[in-house]
Formats: sequence, structure tokens, C-alpha cells
Amino acid sequence: MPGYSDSELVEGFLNGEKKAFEELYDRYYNTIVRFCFSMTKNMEDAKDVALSALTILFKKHKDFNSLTHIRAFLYLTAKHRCLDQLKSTHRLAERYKKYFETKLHDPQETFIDQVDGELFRILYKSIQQLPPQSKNVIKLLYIDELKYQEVADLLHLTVKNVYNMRNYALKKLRESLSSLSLLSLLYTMVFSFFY
Amino acid sequence: MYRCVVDTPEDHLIRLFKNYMGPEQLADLIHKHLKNNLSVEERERLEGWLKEGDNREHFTRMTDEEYLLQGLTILHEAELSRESDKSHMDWNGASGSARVLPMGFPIWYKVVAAAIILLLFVGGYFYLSHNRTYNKSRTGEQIVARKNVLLPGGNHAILTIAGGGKIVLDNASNGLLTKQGTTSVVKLSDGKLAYNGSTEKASTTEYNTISTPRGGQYQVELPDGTNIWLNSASSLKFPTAFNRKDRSVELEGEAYFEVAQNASMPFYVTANGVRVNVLGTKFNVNAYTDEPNAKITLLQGSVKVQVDQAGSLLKPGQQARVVAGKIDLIKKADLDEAMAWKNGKFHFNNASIETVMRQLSRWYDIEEVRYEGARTANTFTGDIDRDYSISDALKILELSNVHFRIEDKKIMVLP
Repeated sequence: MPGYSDSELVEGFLNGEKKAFEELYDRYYNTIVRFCFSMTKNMEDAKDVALSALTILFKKHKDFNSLTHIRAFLYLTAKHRCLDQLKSTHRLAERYKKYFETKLHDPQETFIDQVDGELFRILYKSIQQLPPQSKNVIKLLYIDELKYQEVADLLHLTVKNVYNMRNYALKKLRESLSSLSLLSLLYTMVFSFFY
Repeated sequence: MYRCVVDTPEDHLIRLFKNYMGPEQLADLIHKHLKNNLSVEERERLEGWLKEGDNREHFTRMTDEEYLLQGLTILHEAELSRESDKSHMDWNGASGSARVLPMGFPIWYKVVAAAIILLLFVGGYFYLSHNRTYNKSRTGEQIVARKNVLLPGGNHAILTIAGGGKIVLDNASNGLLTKQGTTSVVKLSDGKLAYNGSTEKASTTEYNTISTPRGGQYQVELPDGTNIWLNSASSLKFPTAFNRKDRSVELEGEAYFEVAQNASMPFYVTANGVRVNVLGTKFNVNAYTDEPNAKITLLQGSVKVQVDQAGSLLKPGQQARVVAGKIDLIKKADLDEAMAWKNGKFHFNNASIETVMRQLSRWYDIEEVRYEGARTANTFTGDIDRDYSISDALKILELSNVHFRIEDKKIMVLP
């Protein structure tokens, strides 16, 4: 995003600048939704939680002095809200409650959550486009969590078609990762040549 | 080009920073690993990190291709609503605006939500901000005699298929439920049903009906891509394939529609004697028979509301209220109020106790509301989250000089 360095962003945020809020929103909305989806398994809930976590963050904007702090708070708040959500809809089995609650306060867990989020942020920025042909298939597989047979029925395809489309998406993912590596390899080669 | 060989304090600091591994740095290393592009030194740092604790386990998960593809799919899906969800953000909240919604608070302070509600009394405005900290279970005991009655609603519905068979959607597992002619009916994970038809035209039109009980809600996606959110105590009858000149559905109760555009096939909603002629758009229809009027609220696009011979064309932001065959056009409708249920809230704007109780009844499946003593003339203004327990919801209402007693599934309203 043009215009904001990390430190300017934090400063703008501290001062309650709307532009800084929007920048943070744009940076983290997607990854927080994904993070929440991994717990709630429900897109609408995940979006709701992401919005409320961001709202809470913005209300407390005076309490933060670094991006690390902001992000940690965001992930932790989102996790708490997801847990509340699962509890209130009775979707959380009793035996998991204890597990979740102990994990909730484990700083290592929060750290990993952020690594995960940042990784997706980097990947998403570098890959951007998902292969369009199989977009529908992978959406049904991974968001609606349907079985291969069900996706096939829904889209009037054979199960083999569905497999192929998923594999195609995986292939594209691999390609976009390696094409980048080729590019950066080229770049380092050119670079080292001059020095 | 030459490098300074002496390690200055700045160099030392830079080196320290370089070796600091925050989430960004680690994510960057893992990204490079995925690209197969790690330098020797970076590989060493990653290896070092992998030796600690459960890190290797996390690393294996994070570098699994299916996991990455799923994550990216979700990010992509989220991206589609990033801009539109921005409008739900309360940007001004940070600079201390007076409007504070009970959005939920971190529970590690062992403090749960505070209810701040604006109360509007007859004879003038009277704002009361009441910041309430409470322990959920304790307040629960104060009002509720028995636990597990009057729980907030959820994704519940029953689907009646063309042959007359019934499917309880709560119990059905996700996936293909049934086939209706050439159309597959699939239950998706988030309280949503999808109809997906083949392009070939079916010879007969079959109808399905989805009904939500009190305390239920559900979403249906029709074969044309139209999405419909059904509020509690409502039902919707629709064809399983659209192979006629128009798309017609029948509604009882309340639903929000996002109609897929198709100029050659107009969309009609019939509800409680009102016909809504739709031209690719987003709108809400509230047509509960126990409400004094039917309300059609337009968010986007254009609809025509028709009752008998009378018709009225709505612009975005407008609402048509239909009482006894007459259409009243509200030029500037309270969209928050109309859309509150879909956004998981009750929104009251100068509402009478009866209006409030009718809405609560449908969501918490209250069997009967009985008024004892003098009925309050106070009106209510404010938001309550729909996932609150009934006792929390009533507690908030009690802030405006009205009291409640719960007996099984009945609620007494006391002055």
C-alpha cells in the first residue's frame, strides 16, 4: 500500500486517523477471516468475528505502540470471539472447551497464529489470482467442505473431473510459487553479476 | 564497492534485528522455503527454529499444499466482501462517539459485554448510558427459573420437497440431500441450502417449501443464484428450477432477498397479499401476519410493490408499508431496523413493548407473553444482539422501567 510505512501506520493509528484504520483493515481483514474460519467453519461467522475484532481494536487504538502489539491483540481477540461464538451456538463440545481455554493463554499459540496469518498474507499478495476454472470446485471443497462426490453432483461433473480441477489448482499454486523463485533467482544472479 | 570490515555498534544492532524472528520474519522464511529459495544462513535459522517445541508440527501443517490452497481460497472469498464489509465498521467509534454497540469484550478480563442502550421515553428523549459488567451465569440465574428454556435461535429449518417428504435440516449432514428432477439440493456448512439445476429445461415445475420454526433462520440459494435469508417463523415456497417466463416465490413471515439479475425473467415475491416485482436487487420483506403492516425495504436496485391495483416503485433506502390494501411510502426508511435481524441484532427505534415482545417471541420461541398490571407506555430504542440469552436481553429492557418474570416458556411483563 502506498503512503504508509509501518511506523507511520502505527503513529496514524495511535492518533486515531481514519486512513490508518482503513489501512489496517485492508491489511488484516482477509487473514483474520481465514483465521476465524479455521475455527468456526462458517464464513458468515468468520466475517462477523473479524469485523468485531477490528472494531474492538480501533476502539482501543490509544493503547498500542507497535504493529506487533496490534497484530497480537487482533489475533487474540479474534480467537476469543470465535470461542464465544462456538459456545453460544452450542457447537463446541465440552471436552474441547478446556483445550481451547488453556491454549488461549499460551503465547506460543498466538505467535504461531500470527506466523500462519502472515504467511497467507505474503502468499496472497504474491499469488493473487486463483485459477478461475477450478475456483468453484475448490470453493465447494474447502469452504463448504463438501465431499468430492457431492461437488460432482452439484456441478454435474464426474468425480474424476473434480479431482482433476483440484489438482489443477494445486499445480497452479506450485507454479506460482516456483515462477517467483525463478524470477528472484534471476534477480539475484543479475545482482551478483554487478557486484 | 567495498564493505566496512569493522563491526560498528550499528552493524551489531542490525545483526541483532536481522536475527530477531517475529511472525513476519518466520512467515518470510517459510515462504522462501516454499519457493525453494532459502539462503544457507536462512536455512540454518529456520532449522534452528524447527527444533524448538512443537514448531516442526506447525511447520508441516503450514507447508501442506492442500492447507495452503484452502487458506488462499478463503482469503479469496473474504476479499470479495472486504470492501462491502467496510461499511459495517464503526470508524468513529475510536474517537469516542456516543454510539457504542455491545460488540463483545475480551473474556480474559472476566468481564463480559456491557449493555449500553439508549432509552427513549414518551414525552421527550432521555438517554441513559448504563455500563453494565456482569457474570453471565449469575444474571442468568436471577431471572431464569430453569436453564435451557428460551435459548436464542439458530440455523434451524425444515424442507418440504415436492413429493411431500420432509427433511429436518438441523440433523441432516452437509452434502447432497436430494435430487428434485434435474436439480440437486445440497446442504452447505453454514446454515445454507443450495439448489443447482442443469441447463436443460425440466418438463414440469416442482415446488419446495423451506420453513423456519420460531427461533430458526436459514439461507437458501436458488438455481438462478438468488440468495434468500429466511427469518424465524417464516416459510418460502419456490420452484426447484426456473423454466418459465418468470421467477415466482411465495413468502410467509420475513426474508431478505438478493436477487440475481436476469432481465428476461422477472422475479416476483408474493407475501400476505402483496406482490413485489423485482429487477435484480437487494431488499427485505417483513410480512408476518401478526405484525400490523407488511414492510418492504429496498437496499439496492429497484422493486415495484403491488397490492391489488395499486402499485408503488421503490428507490434504494425507501420502504413501503402496506396496511389494509393501502401502500404508504417511507422516503427515508430506517435501514438498520429493517436489516437488524440479518445482521444478528434486534434494533428498536421508538418501539412499543408489544413490538419488542413480538420480535423476542419469534426468536426465543416464547409461547405466550402476558401483561400484568398497567402496561408500560415507554418506548424502546437501541440494539440487542440476537445471540444474547433471553435473560440478558430482558435485563437490558428492564433498564427502562419494565420488569419481567419467566415461567417455563411464558413471559410476564410487569410494570
